[in-house]
Amino acid sequence: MSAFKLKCSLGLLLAFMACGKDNIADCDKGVKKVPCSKRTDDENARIALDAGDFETAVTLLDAGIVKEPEVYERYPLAAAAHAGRAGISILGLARSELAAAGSGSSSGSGSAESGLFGAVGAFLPDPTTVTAAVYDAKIADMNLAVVRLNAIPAALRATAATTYASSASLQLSLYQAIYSVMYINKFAVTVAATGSLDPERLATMTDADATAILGSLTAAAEAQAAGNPALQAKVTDVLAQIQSQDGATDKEKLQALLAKNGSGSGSGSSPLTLPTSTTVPPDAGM
Amino acid sequence: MARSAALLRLLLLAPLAGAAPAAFGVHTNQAVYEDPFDIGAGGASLTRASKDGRLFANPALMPHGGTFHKWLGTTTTILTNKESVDTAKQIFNNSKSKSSSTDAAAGADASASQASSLIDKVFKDPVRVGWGQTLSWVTNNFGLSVFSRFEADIRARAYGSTGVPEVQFQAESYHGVAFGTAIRTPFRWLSLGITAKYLYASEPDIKVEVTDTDSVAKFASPDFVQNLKSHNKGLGFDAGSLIFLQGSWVDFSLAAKLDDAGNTKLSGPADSPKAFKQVESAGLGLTFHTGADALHLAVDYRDIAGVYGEQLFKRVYAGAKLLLRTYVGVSAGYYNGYPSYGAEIDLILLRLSAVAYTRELGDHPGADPRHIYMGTLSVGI
Repeated sequence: MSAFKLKCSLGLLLAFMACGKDNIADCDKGVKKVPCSKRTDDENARIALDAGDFETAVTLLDAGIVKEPEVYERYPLAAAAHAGRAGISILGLARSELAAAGSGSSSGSGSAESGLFGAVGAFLPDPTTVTAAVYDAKIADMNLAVVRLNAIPAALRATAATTYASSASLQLSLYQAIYSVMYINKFAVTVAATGSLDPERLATMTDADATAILGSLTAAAEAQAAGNPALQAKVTDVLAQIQSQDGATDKEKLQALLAKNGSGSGSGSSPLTLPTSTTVPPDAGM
Repeated sequence: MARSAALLRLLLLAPLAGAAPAAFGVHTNQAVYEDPFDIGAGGASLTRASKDGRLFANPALMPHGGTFHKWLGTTTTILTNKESVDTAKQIFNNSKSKSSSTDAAAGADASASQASSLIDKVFKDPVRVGWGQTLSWVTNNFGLSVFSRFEADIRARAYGSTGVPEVQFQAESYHGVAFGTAIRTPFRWLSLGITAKYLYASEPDIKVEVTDTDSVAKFASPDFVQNLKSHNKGLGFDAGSLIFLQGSWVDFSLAAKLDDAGNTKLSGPADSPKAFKQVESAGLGLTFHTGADALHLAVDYRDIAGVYGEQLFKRVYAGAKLLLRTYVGVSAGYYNGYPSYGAEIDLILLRLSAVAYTRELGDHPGADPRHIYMGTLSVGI
């Protein structure tokens, strides 16, 4: 073979090798003359979730639910995407649980204070670091996560025949509790100067807020056993504490409990260990 | 460190699990064994395959190439994906910085931070490792190969298929014996071949939710390990034909191949695979050559009938092989639509080759790709 032909051969080969690293059938980055193979919205949603792009994942999964409401496999994923957008890291919670297991302080079902659910507070968004509108949006996302999971027929969540049943039950009980606690945290902010709850913030709680919080806590407590017994026991305990407070309405009882825990003169166990955990300077607003 | 140790323990235990039945077969239109250098050429091997790869790619290739004896030897292959290499580098760097740290408190903080970032990486990047081994004799008219191939894939995701953290373990475990025979008849430009193969195959596909303590607890059960080790067995047949028109400088070749004629049934205790479907494929090749050098361009269109329901980009394989003086070869192509590259050096008794390619495990480009590095050592003649 002449040197010229050899060079031509190498040139052809190099032409192949110079074509980058993308798939030639990729609709966005591929070769235009090659028939492209478009990823489905579900695949794109999974890719978005892997990348932590919750906005895209929520958009795609919610659109899929509207389009095919009977495809229930999508609902737990959509719930996780909403929770992710609200700032909840399930992996972070799982790692906390594994850390507890690894250090020998396994939570088990008998210890509600430690392990996965005892550590929930460390992973919740802090209402003092974002604007009220942003925090409200996060609460709304948690609510939507619960709504997505509740849209799955209870029978499908309860049977091992569906691959997502375990996840849906776990997420539901977890998100109901987290939603309640995030909602409570909106009003339970400690003022650094006094060490007690900000009374003005606490006073903004309405009857509707209290109803929503108690409704969510009640739902979490009544979740099926497949959810998480430890969490349910804790939530039941919190509900009992609320109901034992002085007050004519749910709002007053809830405010009374928060005020007690916030001033340190209460029962000593704050609801789900969270409500008094956030602190703002006296003049800070949401 | 405790949390990282616990999580890594879980990840290491994941391969031992058998908590969920296999969802689907991994094997599709690909042969159970492919020569690595052929993979570098985009996997287009119906019209030209290397060494014992002929037996699996197209038995009708055997009568071509001049000499009676084609190959007698063994080939060992190891592979891993790019992300595994990156993770291994990170572990190595972490251990290096740990050993050089003198401040105990700072060292502990750094160690915790490194462990945390390592877990994040593990939950972001898949791990794929594998190996292959063949012992073969290939001649003009027959070939015999004992082969073994195993690839394991561990994919941990912060958001698994059901929304909670999940570890997925998949494997392709194919072993067996293949015997092929081929003849040129009734014309010199036409050859026909057939391969009989006795297969021992398993394709476990296990998903475990990290938050599901019951599933995690099952890892320790001996039943699950046994389940993972289980393989199905079966006898299958491939048939191939090749039209080879030889010129002084240019050769033209056209191939047709039938894999797993009549479907290869596999029986045994493993959940998957239960059968390899019959697949029809066609290939086109063009070779420019002198007496010693050759440039082979090829394209394969596999699973023409689409029995596995795969997208076109996973059924078309195209590439080039440049062979210089029979001692050096380089290859490039498109495998599963992604660029692939390979190089081979023939040192008479030893052959070394390196290949980089990407395999798409998802249904569409970019859905779940694996960027794979492969190294091969062949000893034989």
